[in-house]
Amino acid sequence: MVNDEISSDEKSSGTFEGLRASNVHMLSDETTITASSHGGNTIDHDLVNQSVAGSQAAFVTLVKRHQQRIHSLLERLCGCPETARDLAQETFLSAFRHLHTFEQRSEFSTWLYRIACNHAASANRRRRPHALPVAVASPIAAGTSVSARMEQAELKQRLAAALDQLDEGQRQAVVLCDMQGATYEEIAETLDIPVGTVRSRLHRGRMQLRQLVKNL
Amino acid sequence: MAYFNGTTPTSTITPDDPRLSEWIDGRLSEAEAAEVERTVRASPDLTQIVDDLRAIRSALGQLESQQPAAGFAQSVLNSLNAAGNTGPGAASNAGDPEVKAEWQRIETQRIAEERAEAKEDSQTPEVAGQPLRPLRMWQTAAMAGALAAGVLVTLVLNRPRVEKEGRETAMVSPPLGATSSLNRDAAEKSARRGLAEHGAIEDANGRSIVLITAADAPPTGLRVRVRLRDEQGRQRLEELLAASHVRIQTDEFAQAKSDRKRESDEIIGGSGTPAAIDALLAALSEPSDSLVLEAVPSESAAADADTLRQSAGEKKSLEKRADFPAMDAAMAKAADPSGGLPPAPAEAVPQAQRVAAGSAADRVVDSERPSANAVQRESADKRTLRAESEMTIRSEDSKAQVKNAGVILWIQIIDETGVGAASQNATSGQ
Repeated sequence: MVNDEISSDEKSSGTFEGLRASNVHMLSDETTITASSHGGNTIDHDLVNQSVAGSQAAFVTLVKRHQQRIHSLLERLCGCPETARDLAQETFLSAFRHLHTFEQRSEFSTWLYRIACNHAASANRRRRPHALPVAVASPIAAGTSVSARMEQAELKQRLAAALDQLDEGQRQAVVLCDMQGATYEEIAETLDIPVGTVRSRLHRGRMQLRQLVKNL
Repeated sequence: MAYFNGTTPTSTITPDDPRLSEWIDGRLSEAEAAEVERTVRASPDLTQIVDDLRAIRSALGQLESQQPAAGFAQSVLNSLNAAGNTGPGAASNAGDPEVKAEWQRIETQRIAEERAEAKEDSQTPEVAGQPLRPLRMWQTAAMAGALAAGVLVTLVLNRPRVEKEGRETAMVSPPLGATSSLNRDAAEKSARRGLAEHGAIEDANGRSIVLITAADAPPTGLRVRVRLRDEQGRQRLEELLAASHVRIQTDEFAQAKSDRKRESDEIIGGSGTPAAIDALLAALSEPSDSLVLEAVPSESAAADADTLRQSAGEKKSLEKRADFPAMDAAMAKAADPSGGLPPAPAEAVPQAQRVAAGSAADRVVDSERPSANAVQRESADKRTLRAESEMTIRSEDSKAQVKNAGVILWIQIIDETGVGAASQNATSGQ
């Protein structure tokens, strides 16, 4: 099966998968959950409850548990480390202020990702109101293989630049799936869109990236 | 229908078909996957697209992101405190007149305290007629306190200091020899600044917040110190450990429990997942009058334990060697009309302290040469005072034993496969 060729080491740390893994650790003595399962995030929920009750220490722990993932997400959504740092702070401040509205029906990380995505989208609207439309990219030259060119280190830079030119919705789907390890369902919940929309946005985003990488 | 670069017209899958991505992501059923695979293998163009998409997916996963700054969590907390957000929902209540009034009251109080503090600062010496900046004044005060510590060892200064009610001090051991409340506060602030660099900060109420998480743990395992202020602290620690998902070495814990009166820190070994450890640390960080979580900012665990034991032992022996002989000498001299000074047990008192103790006693004698009746009355008073003082010292000494009791939690981080448990077993026996 070709899918088996996708190795687990392709996943970076600080992702949805990392968070799921930590939940698996926590519950390993009591119950078994699958790697993609939702729920069971009792540690985060406990910390949320403690934070709502007034414990700043619990909230600080929440921040430390999620700061790397949020930073990484925002850096990829905004394409700028400095902006990502500011937005990460805004994200956690927003989360703290609205923590009492978090009903714990979803995972805390999903809720936090949604806040981060909203902040990133707002920042991107302010920052680049006239982003280049992806449609202007020229057709792919026949016989050129992206996979062959991926061996070049500079291609990663091209990829990062291409990511910056994607439509906001496509970029969110691609970053959440391919960089944060989120499942389609988690992306749908985070972005509050149907899973079918996630499928199409993700595939279109990847195809646009393919085209852009060849043209950059 | 337009197909991409010669894809077979009979194919049901086009390059824009999301099933290609779903196939790469392993989301299709066996039947769907087989159909996609068959179609892709039959089309060189689709095969190329799939290869490219897979390469893009892989490369995206390898793109590196910058790590968040070391003090990020603290900066978030500072922003919250600066904005006056004392709890979730504070912002939504900002328009509430009662909340506004309460916030104004707190702000007014804070400004008044700052002004009072600034006034106190202004009483410190000036250099070349220019008032020192607040930070420099604190530093000067701290340095003066530290200098005085080496010279002035008086009866009061060496007693265990009773901390202000409701204020949790984050110091591992209080500095000896702070000569005034100003200097002592400065020394405390200095110590807290140092501790902040090692993972602990204060919230708006002056309580210490330990920022350490499992992610900060070195390969040798996470070490934190739990200071137990009283027996309730011990009880609370045991409850929190029992309720947590951190696995404690039962034998060692039992031994530690049976050895509660020891003055040095106990070491309790354990192991747990990062999530379980984080939850335990958060629970231990909760404000409590009986239990305080502290950072252990050292390189090696063995050195930590030795240092802490030595520190606790030295402090206690210093109090016993310096306090009681010095007080004996002072009281005896005060009660003696001739003003004779019984020799202090020189072998038990270090030279510097002996000089200081003698000086203190001398000052008592030299400052007054009372008449015989006055001496008798004063002798009775002094005997009463001495008895009360000894009782106070013993009481404080006893309290200090409880207050200074500490437990080093040395937790090995494991994953669900139990990695790390072996090394934990090896280390917990130390």
